[in-house]
Amino acid sequence: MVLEVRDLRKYYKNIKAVDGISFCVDKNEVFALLGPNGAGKTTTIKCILGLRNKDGGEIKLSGTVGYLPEGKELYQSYTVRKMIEITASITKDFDKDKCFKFIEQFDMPLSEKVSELSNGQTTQLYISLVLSQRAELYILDEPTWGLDPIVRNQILEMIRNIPFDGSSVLYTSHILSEVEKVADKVAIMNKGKIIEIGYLDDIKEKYCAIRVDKSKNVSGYKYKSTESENVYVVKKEWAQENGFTCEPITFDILFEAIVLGSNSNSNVRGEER
Amino acid sequence: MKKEFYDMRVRVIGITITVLILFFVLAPFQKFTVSMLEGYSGNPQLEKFLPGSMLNRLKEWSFYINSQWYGKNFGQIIPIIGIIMAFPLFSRETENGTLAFLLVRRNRKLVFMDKFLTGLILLVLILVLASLLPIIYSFLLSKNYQYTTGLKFLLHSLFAGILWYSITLLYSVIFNDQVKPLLAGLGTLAITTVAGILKPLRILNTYAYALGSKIFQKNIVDLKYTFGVIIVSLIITFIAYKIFLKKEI
Repeated sequence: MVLEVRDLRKYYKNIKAVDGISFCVDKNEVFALLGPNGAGKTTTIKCILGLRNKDGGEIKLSGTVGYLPEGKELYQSYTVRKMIEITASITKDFDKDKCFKFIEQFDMPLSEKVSELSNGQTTQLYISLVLSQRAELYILDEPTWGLDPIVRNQILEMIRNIPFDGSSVLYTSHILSEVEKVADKVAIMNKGKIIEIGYLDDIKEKYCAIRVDKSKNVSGYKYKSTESENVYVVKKEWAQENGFTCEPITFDILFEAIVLGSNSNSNVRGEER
Repeated sequence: MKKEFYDMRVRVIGITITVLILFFVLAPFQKFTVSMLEGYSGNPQLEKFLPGSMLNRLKEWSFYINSQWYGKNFGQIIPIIGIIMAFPLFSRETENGTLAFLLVRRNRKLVFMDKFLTGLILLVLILVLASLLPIIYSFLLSKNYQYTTGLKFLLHSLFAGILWYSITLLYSVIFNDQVKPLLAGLGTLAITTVAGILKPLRILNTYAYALGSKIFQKNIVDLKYTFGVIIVSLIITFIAYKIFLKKEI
Protein backbone atom coordinates (compact mmCIF):
# COMPACT_ATOMS: atom_id res chain seq x y z
CA MET A 1 0.00 0.00 0.00
CA VAL A 2 1.31 3.44 -0.95
CA LEU A 3 -1.16 5.63 0.88
CA GLU A 4 -3.55 4.99 3.72
CA VAL A 5 -5.93 7.66 4.96
CA ARG A 6 -7.93 6.80 8.06
CA ASP A 7 -10.70 8.95 9.57
CA LEU A 8 -9.21 12.16 8.20
CA ARG A 9 -10.85 15.32 9.49
CA LYS A 10 -10.29 18.94 8.61
CA TYR A 11 -12.52 21.72 9.88
CA TYR A 12 -12.63 25.44 9.18
CA LYS A 13 -14.45 26.82 12.22
CA ASN A 14 -17.93 25.27 11.79
CA ILE A 15 -17.39 23.99 8.27
CA LYS A 16 -16.48 20.34 7.99
CA ALA A 17 -14.32 20.43 4.86
CA VAL A 18 -13.24 16.82 5.35
CA ASP A 19 -15.32 14.77 7.73
CA GLY A 20 -13.84 11.45 8.72
CA ILE A 21 -12.89 9.93 5.39
CA SER A 22 -10.88 6.74 4.93
CA PHE A 23 -9.36 5.19 1.83
CA CYS A 24 -6.16 3.63 0.61
CA VAL A 25 -4.21 3.64 -2.63
CA ASP A 26 -2.47 0.42 -3.54
CA LYS A 27 0.70 -0.04 -5.53
CA ASN A 28 0.30 0.24 -9.33
CA GLU A 29 -3.21 1.61 -8.94
CA VAL A 30 -4.97 4.69 -10.34
CA PHE A 31 -7.31 6.00 -7.67
CA ALA A 32 -9.74 8.78 -8.59
CA LEU A 33 -11.21 11.10 -6.02
CA LEU A 34 -14.41 12.54 -7.46
CA GLY A 35 -16.93 15.04 -6.27
CA PRO A 36 -18.54 18.38 -7.01
CA ASN A 37 -16.82 21.69 -6.25
CA GLY A 38 -16.34 22.13 -2.52
CA ALA A 39 -16.62 18.40 -1.83
CA GLY A 40 -13.28 18.42 -0.01
CA LYS A 41 -11.04 16.77 -2.61
CA THR A 42 -8.34 19.43 -2.73
CA THR A 43 -8.37 19.83 1.06
CA THR A 44 -7.90 16.06 1.37
CA ILE A 45 -4.94 16.18 -1.01
CA LYS A 46 -3.41 19.17 0.82
CA CYS A 47 -3.73 17.36 4.15
CA ILE A 48 -2.00 14.29 2.66
CA LEU A 49 0.85 16.52 1.44
CA GLY A 50 1.13 18.36 4.76
CA LEU A 51 0.19 21.69 3.17
CA ARG A 52 -2.81 21.89 5.52
CA ASN A 53 -2.89 20.78 9.15
CA LYS A 54 -5.38 18.00 9.78
CA ASP A 55 -7.72 18.14 12.77
CA GLY A 56 -7.81 14.39 13.21
CA GLY A 57 -7.16 11.02 11.67
CA GLU A 58 -4.13 9.27 10.31
CA ILE A 59 -2.23 9.49 7.05
CA LYS A 60 0.35 6.86 6.18
CA LEU A 61 2.40 7.65 3.12
CA SER A 62 5.24 5.47 1.95
CA GLY A 63 7.77 6.80 -0.52
CA THR A 64 8.11 10.05 -2.41
CA VAL A 65 5.25 12.03 -3.90
CA GLY A 66 4.95 14.01 -7.11
CA TYR A 67 2.22 16.64 -6.99
CA LEU A 68 0.35 18.54 -9.66
CA PRO A 69 -1.84 21.15 -7.93
CA GLU A 70 -5.22 22.39 -9.05
CA GLY A 71 -3.86 25.89 -9.77
CA LYS A 72 -0.93 25.24 -12.09
CA GLU A 73 1.20 28.11 -10.75
CA LEU A 74 4.83 28.20 -11.83
CA TYR A 75 7.49 30.91 -11.70
CA GLN A 76 6.31 33.48 -14.24
CA SER A 77 9.69 35.16 -14.77
CA TYR A 78 11.52 31.91 -15.62
CA THR A 79 11.95 30.50 -19.08
CA VAL A 80 10.85 26.90 -19.69
CA ARG A 81 14.52 25.82 -19.62
CA LYS A 82 15.20 27.69 -16.36
CA MET A 83 12.06 26.19 -14.83
CA ILE A 84 13.35 22.69 -15.64
CA GLU A 85 16.84 23.46 -14.30
CA ILE A 86 15.54 24.97 -11.08
CA THR A 87 13.13 22.06 -10.59
CA ALA A 88 16.01 19.63 -11.11
CA SER A 89 18.04 21.45 -8.45
CA ILE A 90 15.34 21.14 -5.79
CA THR A 91 13.71 17.80 -6.66
CA LYS A 92 14.92 14.41 -5.52
CA ASP A 93 15.21 11.77 -8.28
CA PHE A 94 14.44 14.20 -11.09
CA ASP A 95 15.20 13.03 -14.63
CA LYS A 96 16.09 16.17 -16.57
CA ASP A 97 16.44 14.35 -19.91
CA LYS A 98 13.01 12.82 -19.54
CA CYS A 99 11.59 16.28 -18.87
CA PHE A 100 13.25 17.76 -21.97
CA LYS A 101 11.76 14.88 -23.97
CA PHE A 102 8.27 15.66 -22.69
CA ILE A 103 8.75 19.32 -23.59
CA GLU A 104 9.88 18.33 -27.08
CA GLN A 105 6.86 16.05 -27.36
CA PHE A 106 4.59 18.97 -26.45
CA ASP A 107 6.44 21.15 -28.95
CA MET A 108 7.12 23.86 -26.38
CA PRO A 109 9.95 26.38 -26.96
CA LEU A 110 12.54 26.20 -24.18
CA SER A 111 13.32 29.91 -24.38
CA GLU A 112 9.68 30.93 -23.85
CA LYS A 113 8.88 32.61 -20.52
CA VAL A 114 6.35 30.83 -18.31
CA SER A 115 4.30 34.05 -18.21
CA GLU A 116 3.90 33.86 -21.98
CA LEU A 117 2.61 30.28 -22.03
CA SER A 118 -1.10 29.58 -22.46
CA ASN A 119 -3.02 27.82 -19.66
CA GLY A 120 -2.80 24.56 -21.55
CA GLN A 121 0.95 24.90 -22.10
CA THR A 122 1.50 25.76 -18.43
CA THR A 123 -0.32 22.56 -17.50
CA GLN A 124 1.80 20.63 -20.00
CA LEU A 125 4.98 22.07 -18.52
CA TYR A 126 3.84 21.40 -14.96
CA ILE A 127 2.85 17.81 -15.68
CA SER A 128 6.19 17.26 -17.47
CA LEU A 129 8.00 18.49 -14.35
CA VAL A 130 5.91 16.25 -12.09
CA LEU A 131 6.17 13.10 -14.17
CA SER A 132 9.93 13.53 -14.62
CA GLN A 133 10.31 13.01 -10.91
CA ARG A 134 10.64 9.41 -9.82
CA ALA A 135 7.91 8.97 -7.21
CA GLU A 136 5.95 6.16 -5.62
CA LEU A 137 2.74 8.18 -5.73
CA TYR A 138 1.66 10.93 -8.12
CA ILE A 139 -1.08 13.17 -6.82
CA LEU A 140 -2.70 14.95 -9.73
CA ASP A 141 -5.39 17.54 -9.01
CA GLU A 142 -7.42 18.20 -12.15
CA PRO A 143 -4.53 17.27 -14.46
CA THR A 144 -6.36 17.89 -17.73
CA TRP A 145 -7.95 21.22 -16.86
CA GLY A 146 -7.73 23.72 -19.72
CA LEU A 147 -6.31 21.27 -22.27
CA ASP A 148 -7.55 20.68 -25.79
CA PRO A 149 -8.81 17.13 -26.55
CA ILE A 150 -5.61 16.03 -28.31
CA VAL A 151 -3.30 17.08 -25.50
CA ARG A 152 -5.80 15.80 -22.95
CA ASN A 153 -5.58 12.35 -24.51
CA GLN A 154 -1.77 12.56 -24.48
CA ILE A 155 -1.85 13.39 -20.77
CA LEU A 156 -4.35 10.63 -20.03
CA GLU A 157 -2.10 8.21 -21.83
CA MET A 158 0.80 9.35 -19.65
CA ILE A 159 -1.30 8.85 -16.51
CA ARG A 160 -2.43 5.44 -17.67
CA ASN A 161 1.18 4.40 -18.14
CA ILE A 162 2.30 5.44 -14.64
CA PRO A 163 1.32 2.11 -12.96
CA PHE A 164 3.40 0.20 -15.52
CA ASP A 165 6.49 1.89 -14.07
CA GLY A 166 5.58 0.65 -10.59
CA SER A 167 4.01 3.86 -9.27
CA SER A 168 0.48 4.78 -8.21
CA VAL A 169 -1.79 7.71 -8.93
CA LEU A 170 -4.28 9.61 -6.82
CA TYR A 171 -6.13 12.05 -8.97
CA THR A 172 -9.17 14.25 -9.09
CA SER A 173 -11.21 15.29 -12.07
CA HIS A 174 -14.56 16.74 -12.99
CA ILE A 175 -14.56 14.97 -16.32
CA LEU A 176 -16.11 11.58 -15.66
CA SER A 177 -15.44 10.14 -19.10
CA GLU A 178 -11.76 10.67 -18.30
CA VAL A 179 -12.10 8.83 -15.01
CA GLU A 180 -13.64 5.86 -16.76
CA LYS A 181 -10.67 5.75 -19.10
CA VAL A 182 -7.93 5.69 -16.49
CA ALA A 183 -9.17 4.90 -12.99
CA ASP A 184 -9.08 1.51 -11.33
CA LYS A 185 -10.73 2.58 -8.10
CA VAL A 186 -12.89 5.63 -7.34
CA ALA A 187 -14.19 7.42 -4.28
CA ILE A 188 -17.10 9.81 -4.67
CA MET A 189 -16.98 12.65 -2.17
CA ASN A 190 -19.61 15.19 -1.23
CA LYS A 191 -19.70 17.66 1.64
CA GLY A 192 -16.50 16.28 3.14
CA LYS A 193 -17.60 12.64 3.20
CA ILE A 194 -17.00 9.67 0.96
CA ILE A 195 -20.37 8.44 -0.23
CA GLU A 196 -19.23 5.61 -2.43
CA ILE A 197 -15.90 3.87 -2.84
CA GLY A 198 -14.68 0.86 -4.72
CA TYR A 199 -13.49 -0.48 -8.04
CA LEU A 200 -15.07 1.46 -10.87
CA ASP A 201 -16.49 -1.63 -12.56
CA ASP A 202 -17.94 -2.91 -9.27
CA ILE A 203 -19.66 0.41 -8.58
CA LYS A 204 -21.09 0.58 -12.08
CA GLU A 205 -22.27 -3.03 -11.72
CA LYS A 206 -23.80 -2.38 -8.29
CA TYR A 207 -26.35 0.25 -9.35
CA CYS A 208 -29.16 0.50 -11.86
CA ALA A 209 -32.12 2.78 -12.60
CA ILE A 210 -35.73 1.94 -11.81
CA ARG A 211 -38.92 3.72 -12.76
CA VAL A 212 -41.44 4.14 -9.97
CA ASP A 213 -44.96 5.48 -10.10
CA LYS A 214 -45.15 8.94 -8.54
CA SER A 215 -47.63 7.74 -5.94
CA LYS A 216 -45.03 5.31 -4.55
CA ASN A 217 -42.07 6.23 -2.48
CA VAL A 218 -38.77 4.41 -2.79
CA SER A 219 -35.62 4.98 -0.85
CA GLY A 220 -32.83 5.57 -3.30
CA TYR A 221 -31.08 8.33 -5.16
CA LYS A 222 -33.85 10.14 -6.98
CA TYR A 223 -32.35 10.99 -10.35
CA LYS A 224 -35.23 12.64 -12.24
CA SER A 225 -38.98 12.98 -12.48
CA THR A 226 -41.26 12.67 -15.45
CA GLU A 227 -44.99 13.48 -15.51
CA SER A 228 -46.05 10.12 -14.21
CA GLU A 229 -43.00 8.55 -12.63
CA ASN A 230 -39.78 9.10 -10.75
CA VAL A 231 -36.49 7.60 -11.82
CA TYR A 232 -34.36 6.30 -8.97
CA VAL A 233 -30.83 4.99 -8.92
CA VAL A 234 -30.78 2.05 -6.55
CA LYS A 235 -28.68 -0.98 -5.77
CA LYS A 236 -29.29 -3.65 -8.43
CA GLU A 237 -29.62 -6.40 -5.85
CA TRP A 238 -32.34 -4.55 -3.98
CA ALA A 239 -34.21 -3.73 -7.20
CA GLN A 240 -34.23 -7.36 -8.30
CA GLU A 241 -35.35 -8.58 -4.87
CA ASN A 242 -38.27 -6.17 -4.98
CA GLY A 243 -39.34 -7.00 -8.50
CA PHE A 244 -38.27 -3.80 -10.28
CA THR A 245 -37.01 -3.79 -13.84
CA CYS A 246 -33.38 -2.66 -13.84
CA GLU A 247 -32.17 -0.29 -16.51
CA PRO A 248 -28.43 0.11 -17.03
CA ILE A 249 -26.99 3.53 -16.28
CA THR A 250 -23.88 5.41 -17.32
CA PHE A 251 -21.25 6.43 -14.80
CA ASP A 252 -22.22 10.09 -15.36
CA ILE A 253 -25.80 9.37 -14.30
CA LEU A 254 -24.66 7.31 -11.35
CA PHE A 255 -22.31 10.07 -10.17
CA GLU A 256 -24.96 12.77 -10.57
CA ALA A 257 -27.59 10.71 -8.79
CA ILE A 258 -25.32 9.86 -5.88
CA VAL A 259 -24.21 13.48 -5.42
CA LEU A 260 -27.70 14.94 -5.80
CA GLY A 261 -29.09 12.22 -3.60
CA SER A 262 -26.60 12.84 -0.85
CA ASN A 263 -27.48 16.54 -0.92
CA SER A 264 -31.05 15.68 -0.05
CA ASN A 265 -31.32 13.98 3.33
CA SER A 266 -34.60 12.23 2.49
CA ASN A 267 -32.87 10.29 -0.20
CA VAL A 268 -29.93 9.16 1.85
CA ARG A 269 -30.57 5.72 3.22
CA GLY A 270 -28.17 2.94 3.98
CA GLU A 271 -29.22 -0.58 3.12
CA GLU A 272 -32.60 0.27 1.71
CA ARG A 273 -31.18 1.69 -1.48
CA MET B 1 19.93 27.95 -2.73
CA LYS B 2 20.49 28.25 -6.48
CA LYS B 3 16.85 29.18 -6.94
CA GLU B 4 16.91 31.73 -4.14
CA PHE B 5 20.04 33.43 -5.48
CA TYR B 6 18.42 33.54 -8.90
CA ASP B 7 15.20 35.00 -7.49
CA MET B 8 17.04 37.72 -5.56
CA ARG B 9 19.45 38.78 -8.28
CA VAL B 10 17.50 41.83 -9.48
CA ARG B 11 17.01 43.18 -5.96
CA VAL B 12 20.66 42.67 -5.05
CA ILE B 13 21.96 44.28 -8.23
CA GLY B 14 19.51 47.19 -7.81
CA ILE B 15 20.49 47.86 -4.21
CA THR B 16 24.22 47.52 -4.95
CA ILE B 17 24.03 50.00 -7.84
CA THR B 18 22.04 52.44 -5.69
CA VAL B 19 24.60 52.19 -2.88
CA LEU B 20 27.51 52.71 -5.29
CA ILE B 21 25.86 55.72 -6.92
CA LEU B 22 25.13 57.17 -3.48
CA PHE B 23 28.76 56.77 -2.47
CA PHE B 24 30.23 58.19 -5.64
CA VAL B 25 28.08 61.30 -5.60
CA LEU B 26 29.39 61.91 -2.10
CA ALA B 27 32.99 60.77 -1.63
CA PRO B 28 34.75 62.65 -4.45
CA PHE B 29 32.97 65.92 -3.65
CA GLN B 30 34.31 66.80 -0.19
CA LYS B 31 35.96 70.04 -1.31
CA PHE B 32 32.91 71.07 -3.35
CA THR B 33 30.55 70.38 -0.40
CA VAL B 34 32.71 72.28 2.09
CA SER B 35 33.21 75.27 -0.22
CA MET B 36 29.48 75.37 -0.93
CA LEU B 37 28.70 75.38 2.79
CA GLU B 38 31.34 78.04 3.39
CA GLY B 39 29.54 80.18 0.86
CA TYR B 40 26.57 80.21 3.23
CA SER B 41 28.67 81.08 6.32
CA GLY B 42 27.19 84.00 8.17
CA ASN B 43 23.69 82.80 7.39
CA PRO B 44 22.02 82.50 10.84
CA GLN B 45 19.77 79.66 9.68
CA LEU B 46 22.76 77.58 8.60
CA GLU B 47 24.73 78.48 11.73
CA LYS B 48 21.92 76.95 13.75
CA PHE B 49 22.30 73.55 12.10
CA LEU B 50 25.91 73.67 11.03
CA PRO B 51 28.08 75.68 13.43
CA GLY B 52 31.46 76.91 12.24
CA SER B 53 33.33 74.30 14.24
CA MET B 54 31.43 71.57 12.44
CA LEU B 55 32.21 73.14 9.10
CA ASN B 56 35.91 73.08 9.97
CA ARG B 57 35.71 69.42 10.96
CA LEU B 58 34.13 68.57 7.60
CA LYS B 59 37.44 69.58 6.08
CA GLU B 60 38.97 66.48 7.73
CA TRP B 61 38.46 63.50 5.41
CA SER B 62 37.74 61.00 8.21
CA PHE B 63 35.04 63.16 9.76
CA TYR B 64 33.56 64.09 6.41
CA ILE B 65 33.19 60.54 5.12
CA ASN B 66 32.10 59.08 8.48
CA SER B 67 29.44 61.72 9.07
CA GLN B 68 28.18 61.90 5.49
CA TRP B 69 28.33 58.17 4.67
CA TYR B 70 27.73 56.18 7.87
CA GLY B 71 26.01 58.95 9.79
CA LYS B 72 23.78 60.12 6.95
CA ASN B 73 23.41 58.70 3.44
CA PHE B 74 24.18 55.00 3.89
CA GLY B 75 23.22 54.95 7.58
CA GLN B 76 19.70 56.12 6.78
CA ILE B 77 19.01 53.41 4.24
CA ILE B 78 20.38 50.46 6.24
CA PRO B 79 16.97 49.47 7.74
CA ILE B 80 15.34 50.00 4.34
CA ILE B 81 17.88 47.67 2.70
CA GLY B 82 17.03 45.04 5.34
CA ILE B 83 13.30 45.48 4.68
CA ILE B 84 13.67 45.32 0.88
CA MET B 85 15.78 42.16 1.10
CA ALA B 86 13.25 40.36 3.31
CA PHE B 87 9.72 41.43 2.33
CA PRO B 88 9.16 39.16 -0.73
CA LEU B 89 11.04 36.10 0.57
CA PHE B 90 7.94 34.10 1.51
CA SER B 91 5.07 36.43 0.62
CA ARG B 92 5.87 36.42 -3.11
CA GLU B 93 5.67 32.62 -3.19
CA THR B 94 2.39 32.66 -1.25
CA GLU B 95 0.91 35.41 -3.43
CA ASN B 96 1.91 33.69 -6.67
CA GLY B 97 0.77 30.27 -5.45
CA THR B 98 4.23 28.73 -5.92
CA LEU B 99 4.92 27.85 -2.28
CA ALA B 100 3.29 24.42 -2.73
CA PHE B 101 5.72 23.74 -5.58
CA LEU B 102 8.60 24.10 -3.12
CA LEU B 103 7.00 22.42 -0.12
CA VAL B 104 6.19 19.17 -1.90
CA ARG B 105 9.82 18.92 -3.02
CA ARG B 106 11.69 19.91 0.12
CA ASN B 107 10.79 19.87 3.77
CA ARG B 108 9.67 23.10 5.40
CA LYS B 109 12.78 23.43 7.53
CA LEU B 110 14.99 23.37 4.43
CA VAL B 111 12.77 25.78 2.51
CA PHE B 112 12.88 28.23 5.42
CA MET B 113 16.63 27.90 5.94
CA ASP B 114 17.31 28.27 2.21
CA LYS B 115 15.35 31.48 1.93
CA PHE B 116 16.48 32.92 5.25
CA LEU B 117 20.18 32.16 4.75
CA THR B 118 20.33 33.23 1.09
CA GLY B 119 18.73 36.56 1.95
CA LEU B 120 20.99 36.94 4.98
CA ILE B 121 24.19 36.16 3.05
CA LEU B 122 23.30 38.64 0.29
CA LEU B 123 22.29 41.28 2.84
CA VAL B 124 25.58 40.86 4.70
CA LEU B 125 27.52 41.11 1.42
CA ILE B 126 25.75 44.35 0.46
CA LEU B 127 26.22 45.86 3.93
CA VAL B 128 29.87 44.82 4.14
CA LEU B 129 30.57 46.23 0.69
CA ALA B 130 28.80 49.49 1.51
CA SER B 131 30.51 49.76 4.89
CA LEU B 132 33.94 49.07 3.41
CA LEU B 133 33.56 51.60 0.60
CA PRO B 134 35.11 54.50 2.62
CA ILE B 135 37.99 52.24 3.68
CA ILE B 136 38.68 51.00 0.13
CA TYR B 137 38.30 54.49 -1.33
CA SER B 138 40.60 56.03 1.29
CA PHE B 139 43.20 53.33 0.71
CA LEU B 140 43.14 53.68 -3.09
CA LEU B 141 43.34 57.45 -2.98
CA SER B 142 45.85 57.46 -0.07
CA LYS B 143 43.57 59.53 2.09
CA ASN B 144 44.19 59.91 5.79
CA TYR B 145 41.52 57.68 7.32
CA GLN B 146 41.06 55.89 10.67
CA TYR B 147 40.35 52.38 9.43
CA THR B 148 39.39 51.01 12.86
CA THR B 149 36.55 53.53 13.08
CA GLY B 150 35.26 52.29 9.72
CA LEU B 151 35.19 48.74 11.08
CA LYS B 152 33.18 49.89 14.10
CA PHE B 153 30.62 51.43 11.76
CA LEU B 154 30.60 48.16 9.81
CA LEU B 155 29.46 46.28 12.92
CA HIS B 156 26.64 48.74 13.61
CA SER B 157 25.51 48.69 9.98
CA LEU B 158 25.49 44.89 9.86
CA PHE B 159 23.41 44.29 12.95
CA ALA B 160 21.00 47.15 12.29
CA GLY B 161 20.39 45.69 8.81
CA ILE B 162 19.96 42.16 10.18
CA LEU B 163 17.45 43.37 12.80
CA TRP B 164 15.17 44.90 10.13
CA TYR B 165 15.71 41.91 7.88
CA SER B 166 14.45 39.56 10.60
CA ILE B 167 11.48 41.79 11.50
CA THR B 168 10.35 41.96 7.85
CA LEU B 169 11.03 38.24 7.40
CA LEU B 170 8.43 37.59 10.09
CA TYR B 171 5.92 39.79 8.24
CA SER B 172 6.77 37.99 5.00
CA VAL B 173 5.90 34.65 6.61
CA ILE B 174 2.68 35.95 8.17
CA PHE B 175 1.18 37.85 5.23
CA ASN B 176 -0.02 36.28 1.98
CA ASP B 177 0.79 39.16 -0.36
CA GLN B 178 3.90 41.23 -0.97
CA VAL B 179 2.55 44.68 -0.20
CA LYS B 180 1.62 44.02 3.43
CA PRO B 181 5.08 42.89 4.65
CA LEU B 182 6.67 45.87 2.91
CA LEU B 183 4.21 48.32 4.45
CA ALA B 184 4.36 46.61 7.84
CA GLY B 185 8.19 46.75 7.81
CA LEU B 186 8.26 50.42 6.85
CA GLY B 187 5.44 51.19 9.30
CA THR B 188 7.25 49.49 12.16
CA LEU B 189 10.40 51.43 11.28
CA ALA B 190 8.47 54.72 11.29
CA ILE B 191 6.64 53.96 14.53
CA THR B 192 9.73 52.82 16.45
CA THR B 193 11.71 55.83 15.21
CA VAL B 194 9.00 58.30 16.25
CA ALA B 195 8.40 56.50 19.56
CA GLY B 196 12.13 56.67 20.21
CA ILE B 197 11.92 60.47 20.41
CA LEU B 198 10.36 59.97 23.86
CA LYS B 199 13.11 59.52 26.40
CA PRO B 200 11.77 56.35 28.10
CA LEU B 201 11.32 54.72 24.68
CA ARG B 202 14.54 55.87 23.07
CA ILE B 203 15.78 52.28 22.96
CA LEU B 204 13.21 51.74 20.18
CA ASN B 205 14.90 54.23 17.88
CA THR B 206 17.18 51.92 15.95
CA TYR B 207 18.44 54.82 13.82
CA ALA B 208 20.61 56.08 16.67
CA TYR B 209 22.38 52.71 16.50
CA ALA B 210 22.39 52.36 12.69
CA LEU B 211 23.90 55.81 12.26
CA GLY B 212 26.55 55.03 14.89
CA SER B 213 25.90 57.82 17.45
CA LYS B 214 28.00 56.03 20.10
CA ILE B 215 30.91 55.80 17.65
CA PHE B 216 30.68 59.52 16.92
CA GLN B 217 30.38 60.40 20.61
CA LYS B 218 32.87 58.00 22.23
CA ASN B 219 34.53 56.17 19.32
CA ILE B 220 33.30 52.84 20.72
CA VAL B 221 30.96 50.11 19.50
CA ASP B 222 27.68 50.09 21.43
CA LEU B 223 28.13 46.54 22.68
CA LYS B 224 25.06 46.49 24.91
CA TYR B 225 22.74 47.56 22.09
CA THR B 226 24.51 45.21 19.63
CA PHE B 227 23.92 42.30 21.98
CA GLY B 228 20.26 43.32 22.37
CA VAL B 229 19.84 43.57 18.58
CA ILE B 230 21.32 40.07 18.10
CA ILE B 231 18.99 38.57 20.72
CA VAL B 232 15.89 40.30 19.31
CA SER B 233 16.82 39.25 15.75
CA LEU B 234 17.28 35.63 16.84
CA ILE B 235 13.97 35.57 18.72
CA ILE B 236 12.04 37.11 15.81
CA THR B 237 13.63 34.71 13.30
CA PHE B 238 12.78 31.76 15.53
CA ILE B 239 9.15 32.92 15.77
CA ALA B 240 9.02 33.30 11.96
CA TYR B 241 10.42 29.78 11.61
CA LYS B 242 7.86 28.30 14.00
CA ILE B 243 4.98 30.07 12.23
CA PHE B 244 6.24 28.89 8.84
CA LEU B 245 6.36 25.26 10.02
CA LYS B 246 2.63 25.41 10.80
CA LYS B 247 1.49 27.75 8.03
CA GLU B 248 -1.36 26.42 5.88
CA ILE B 249 -1.02 26.72 2.12
